[in-house]
Amino acid sequence: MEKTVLGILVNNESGVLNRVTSLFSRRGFNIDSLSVGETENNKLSRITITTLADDNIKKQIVKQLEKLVDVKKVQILENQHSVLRELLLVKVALPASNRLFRSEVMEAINVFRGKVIDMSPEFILIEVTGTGSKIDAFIEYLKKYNICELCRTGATAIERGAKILKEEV
Amino acid sequence: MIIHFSFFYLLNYIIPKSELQQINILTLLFCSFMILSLKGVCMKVSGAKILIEVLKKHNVDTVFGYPGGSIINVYDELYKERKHIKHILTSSEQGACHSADGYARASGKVGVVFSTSGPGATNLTTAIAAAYLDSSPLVIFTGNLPRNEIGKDAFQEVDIQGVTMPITKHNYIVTDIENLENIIIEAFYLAKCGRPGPILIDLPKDIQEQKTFYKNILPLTVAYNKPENLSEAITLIKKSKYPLILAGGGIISSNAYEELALLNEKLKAPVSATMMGLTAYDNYNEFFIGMMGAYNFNASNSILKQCDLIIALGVRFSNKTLPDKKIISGKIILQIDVDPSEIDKTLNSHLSIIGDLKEVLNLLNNRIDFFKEPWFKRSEEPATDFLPKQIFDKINKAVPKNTVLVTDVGKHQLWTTQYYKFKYPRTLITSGGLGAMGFGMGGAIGSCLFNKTTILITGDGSFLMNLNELSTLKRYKLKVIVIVFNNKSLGLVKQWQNLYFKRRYAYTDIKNKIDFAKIARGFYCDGYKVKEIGEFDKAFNSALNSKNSAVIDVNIDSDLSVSIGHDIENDISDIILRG
Repeated sequence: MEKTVLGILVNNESGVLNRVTSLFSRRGFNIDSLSVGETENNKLSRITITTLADDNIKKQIVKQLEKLVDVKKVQILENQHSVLRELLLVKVALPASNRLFRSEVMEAINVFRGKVIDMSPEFILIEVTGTGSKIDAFIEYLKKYNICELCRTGATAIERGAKILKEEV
Repeated sequence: MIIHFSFFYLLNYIIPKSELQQINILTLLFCSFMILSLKGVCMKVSGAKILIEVLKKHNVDTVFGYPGGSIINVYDELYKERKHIKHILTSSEQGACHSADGYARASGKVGVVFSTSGPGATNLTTAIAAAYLDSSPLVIFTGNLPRNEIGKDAFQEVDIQGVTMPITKHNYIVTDIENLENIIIEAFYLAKCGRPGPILIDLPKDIQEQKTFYKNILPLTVAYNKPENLSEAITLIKKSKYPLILAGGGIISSNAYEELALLNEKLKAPVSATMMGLTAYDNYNEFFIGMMGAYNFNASNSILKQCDLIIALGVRFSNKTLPDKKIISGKIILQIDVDPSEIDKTLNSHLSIIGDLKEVLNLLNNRIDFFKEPWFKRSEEPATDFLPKQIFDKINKAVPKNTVLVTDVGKHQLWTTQYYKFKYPRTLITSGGLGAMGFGMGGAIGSCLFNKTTILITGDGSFLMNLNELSTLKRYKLKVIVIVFNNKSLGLVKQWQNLYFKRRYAYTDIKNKIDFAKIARGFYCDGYKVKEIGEFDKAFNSALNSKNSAVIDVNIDSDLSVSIGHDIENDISDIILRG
C-alpha cells in the first residue's frame, strides 16, 4: 500500500462532491485528504484526493470513478512527476514580552519560507504552504510554543511537464 | 382562426364573390392545418406534459405507479394519455417498482415507475436496490415539493436523491424546467446503455406545473467502442484443452443467447451459469452442467477443478458464484464484460475484453475457424422422490417452454435453480443480487404483463411480505399461478441454525396459522391446499386450465434442506455464514 494522489475532473454542480466521496466510503476506500475547487472552465471542478492503495485498489478506484456520470476524467498523479501542495494557517499565542520565543518563531518562519499574516502583542498568525511533510515538520516545531488554533487544507496536486488533466472531447 | 379571418377580409377586396366561397373553404382548411401543426412548436406546455411526450417518444406503453399529492400533475397528464399508455396501479410503491423490474427483466425494455414524495419514494428503495444489484433498466419518477419549499422538513418531504444515491446507476433532481426534457432523454439512455441500471428523477411540483416549449429532442442511441484483444482471446481458447464457459447476467442484458449457442457449437465446452445467467443457455443441451456456486450439487464444482480455461461471459464473480477463490487458482481466466469496472474487481483475469457481449461473441464466432473436441460427459441425474424435485419435474412437463418462472427468496429459490430446466432466455426472474424477499408478486405482475404465461414460486415467508399484490392480479385480469412452498418457517435461515447454531431456531420456526388458499379466495383468485405430489398434480392442472389466477399452498416438511456443493472444503461454515 502506498500513498496515491488522484486528480478528478467533475461537473461543477451541487451534489457531485457528495457522489464522489460517498463512492469512496461505499467501496471501502479511505480518503486521507481532499481538496476541491473550480477550474478555469466554470463548468468543471477539480477534486484532489489522497488515499492509501495498492495496485489493484488503484485500478478499481479509477474504474469506479469513471463509471460516475458526473466524472469527466480521472488521473493518478505519480509522486515523482507531480507537485503536491497544502496550505496551513496557524495561530500561536506569543506575548511580545517573550522576545526569545518570538525571535525563534520568526526564524522558523523564515526557514520554512512562511509568512506572518497578522501580529498582535499576544498572537502571531502564520501562513505556510508546502508539501505535507513540510507542513508536518513546521507544526512539529511549533508544538513547543502555544498553538491556539490550526487549520490545514487538503492536498492539491498537479503533474509537472506537458501532461494535462483535461476533459476528453 | 385570426389568420383565416384577416386573410378572408383582405380577399374580399381582391376577388369576385363566387370564387371567394371556394377559396374561403380552402384557406380555412389550410389555416387550421397550419395552426394544428405549429401548435407543438409555438405553444408552451407543462413539465408534466413534456414528461409524457418523452415517454411516448421512447415507445413506452406500460407504466407502474401509485399516485399522491406531489405527483398529481403528472398523473393528470397520464390520465389524458390512457389510451396510449397503460398505467398499472399496485397495492404499494414497492409492488409498483418490483413490477416494473419484472417487466424490464421479462421484456428487455426500460421499466417506468411513478411515485409521490416522502413515504411513496422511500417505499421504493428496496425495489430500486434489487434492480441496481441485478443491473435491471428502470426509470423512476418521484414527485417532490415545490423548489422553494425543499429543505425545510415539509409534509411528505424526503431527500430521495440522497437516499438513492448508492443504489441507482445515476439520479437527478430537476431544478430548471429547461433541462427537464434533456434529463429524461439522458435517463432512458443511461438506463439501457452499457451495464443497465435504475435511474431516478426527482420532480419538484412546480417543475411539473411550469410551462416551456417542448423541443422534441430525439432519443439517444447506444454505441460501443470497438472491442480489443480478440485475437489473443482466440489463441487462448484454441490452446486450452479443458475450457469451461461461465454464462452470467450479461448474456441476458445483451441478448446474446443465440451468439453463445453458436459459439459453443464450435467449442463444445461444458457451460455453467450464475443465477442471473441461468437462462443464457438451453438447459436441455448436453453441454449444460447447471448453476455454479455455493448451492450447486451437480457437476459444476468438480468440472471447475478440472478445467484449465474459464471463459466468463458477463459474470461479476459474486461471493455466491465463487465462495472459495482457491478452487480456481492456477486456472486461466478470460473475462468478457461491458462494464470495465467488473474486470479484475473480485479476482484477477489473465485476459479481458471490454465490449457489448452480443457484438464481441459475434466477432469471435466469425473469426473462430476451428472446432474443439468435447472433454466431458454430463452424467444422468439419479431418480429421487424429493418432493421439491417432483414438483419442478411436474411443472417442467406441463407448461410450454416459454413460460416464465418468477421466484422469491429462500429455499424455494435455490430449489428452482437446482431442479427446473430453462430453455429460453428471460424465463427465470429472480432477485439474485439483493435477494429481496417480497420481490416475487411484483416480479410476476410485471412479467405477466409482457409474457402471458407466468408462474410464481414462493415461500410462506416471502409470500406473506407482499401478498397484498394479489389485488393487482384481479384488477388487471392477469393470470399468475402462485405456488407457495409452505414449510411454516424461514427455511434457509433455519437450515443454517440447524447446522451451525445447534438447532437454536431463533424466530425462524414460524408455525403460522395461515390459510393461503382462503386468502387467495379473499382476493377473488382460486385457492388450493395440497400436501403430496398427487394432490399437487390435480391442483396444478386445474389452475393451468382456468382463466383465473391461483394460489397453491403446498405443505413442505421443514426438514427438507437445500443441498450444498460437496466439493467446497475448508471453512464451509465461514463461507455460508459470510455469504
